Amino acid sequence: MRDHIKIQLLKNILDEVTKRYDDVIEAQNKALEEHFERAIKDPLTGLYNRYYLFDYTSKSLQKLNREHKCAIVVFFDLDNFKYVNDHFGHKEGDRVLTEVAHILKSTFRSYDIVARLGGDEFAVYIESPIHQNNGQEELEKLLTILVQRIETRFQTYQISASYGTAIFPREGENLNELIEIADKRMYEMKREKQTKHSSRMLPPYSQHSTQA
Amino acid sequence: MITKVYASQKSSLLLCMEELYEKVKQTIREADFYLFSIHPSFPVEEINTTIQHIFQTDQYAAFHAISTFQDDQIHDQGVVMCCIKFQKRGRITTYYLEDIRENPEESAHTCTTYLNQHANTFHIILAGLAEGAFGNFLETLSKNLNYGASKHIVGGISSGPKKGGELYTFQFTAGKVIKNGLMIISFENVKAETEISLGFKPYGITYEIKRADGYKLYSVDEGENFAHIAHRMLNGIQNPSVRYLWYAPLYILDETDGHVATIRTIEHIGKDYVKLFGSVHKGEHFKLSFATYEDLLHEDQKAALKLKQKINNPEIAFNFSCIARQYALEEHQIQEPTIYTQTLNTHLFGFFTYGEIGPDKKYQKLKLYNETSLLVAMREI
Repeated sequence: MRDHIKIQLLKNILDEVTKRYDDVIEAQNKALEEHFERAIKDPLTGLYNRYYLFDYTSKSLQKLNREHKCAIVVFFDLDNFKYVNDHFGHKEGDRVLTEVAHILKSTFRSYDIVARLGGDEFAVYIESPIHQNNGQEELEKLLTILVQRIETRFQTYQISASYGTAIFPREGENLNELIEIADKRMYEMKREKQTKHSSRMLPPYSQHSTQA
Repeated sequence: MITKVYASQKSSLLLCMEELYEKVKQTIREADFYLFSIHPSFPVEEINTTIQHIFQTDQYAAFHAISTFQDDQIHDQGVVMCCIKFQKRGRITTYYLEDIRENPEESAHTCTTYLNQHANTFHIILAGLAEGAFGNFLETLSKNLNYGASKHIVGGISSGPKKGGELYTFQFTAGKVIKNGLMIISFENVKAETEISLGFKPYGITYEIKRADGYKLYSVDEGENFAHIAHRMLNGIQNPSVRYLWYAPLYILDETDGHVATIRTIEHIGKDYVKLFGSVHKGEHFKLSFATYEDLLHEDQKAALKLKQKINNPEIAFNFSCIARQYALEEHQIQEPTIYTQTLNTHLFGFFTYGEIGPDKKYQKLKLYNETSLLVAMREI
């Protein structure tokens, strides 16, 4: 008696449970995504953070090693950034960093890992970029354009960028080694720029006496 | 004590009472107390005078009920009478409050004083819903009862039809018609034990009550109108009736102090609220629940067996069984009083209630249950 009513009632209870279950799962997934984003992204620039870069590359380098493929790490550091912070405050410094991050992101492919390591240091991890010898040249060209974009954008502050690169597996087996090499090369570039800059600033007589 | 439970199905109150009186005369000749369950179809104003005229006594209590248990039978018309003749020191007195609506708290304090003063007496409360005031009344009463007093108090909300929005369910004693109050039948020098049967189990979503007022539940969780949820429960059912929701009552999860879980049955679905047969409170959590008739009868059997262990050879059993539970039992209704009478081997008197009054697990307070079957076994000492 009235079995069809009871079955329909139970179906309706089940419908409510299903609907609620779907809602809860969706909310949980959204929360998980948000937590994950917070865990892997730099809150200021929205770039990946150091943790994610190391986590991602440790897996990626193992894979590339098995497949006998290569990767490249680019290490970036802004020149004259301290000047902005000291003279215009941290708020303006943060704005500069955010815009630099945007320039970096828009320069590389969506699947390249662009990360902020801290302060004004950035790194880019590019999988299998070099198939032929001219691949390295293309990257150099791209990095030169990138530096020019930064210099043009922040001309008023005389901000520029120095970088160094390291290639896996030829120059390093893990990210620490690769960053160390790229970091050294970046400093070499910075030194070269400072030397050029200093020589440009020397008065004519000094230049003359140096040459002598 | 000697007890008898008789029924009369005559077409008029007078004829019913005459037939019942004849039955008493032919068996125990005269009783010390008469308890009548009267179908609400009989004229209210005739009830006291007819009883007094036929039985020539003031030692009676009567109340409305849609259906009444007479041993292993259920009557949905006429009058069912339980008559009691004490053989030792047994005695019954009655107490009543005519109207508790004006000031339920003050009424509750008056009533508590009576119950605390008669702590060793077993009390049966027969009440009306008093337009929703009974819930507050019982909560205040419960708070002020002396420790252990609730062990000796049971009862039920008498049942009747709705007429013009008003629940037509009255009590009658000592010439009084009690419309929005209650009546207490107090048994002295008896041993009585109580068991409560449920059988419903909670299923599905846990809802949190966000807004409630007395018997009205407005919203749950993030403020969703519970009336909408109640309507969704009736989706796909032809000619939906609120009674169909009696198969899936609300199972309160926070109140774990009851003999059984506190269940709330839906009386009416409003525009922005659902009216229940008992109060709920903000912050309480509940699920919907469900039971088959086998689940309900299985719990009845367990309750009766427990009661049999507690009290030897009871001389009378009282049963207050929720009208919604009876609805859920469908054509198996008759099996409930059959289980009770066969297990306890005694006469059974009881009725379909709109709420059952019984003690909590620790006998510290009184609770208003829904969808239960409350069973009392009693003997004179």
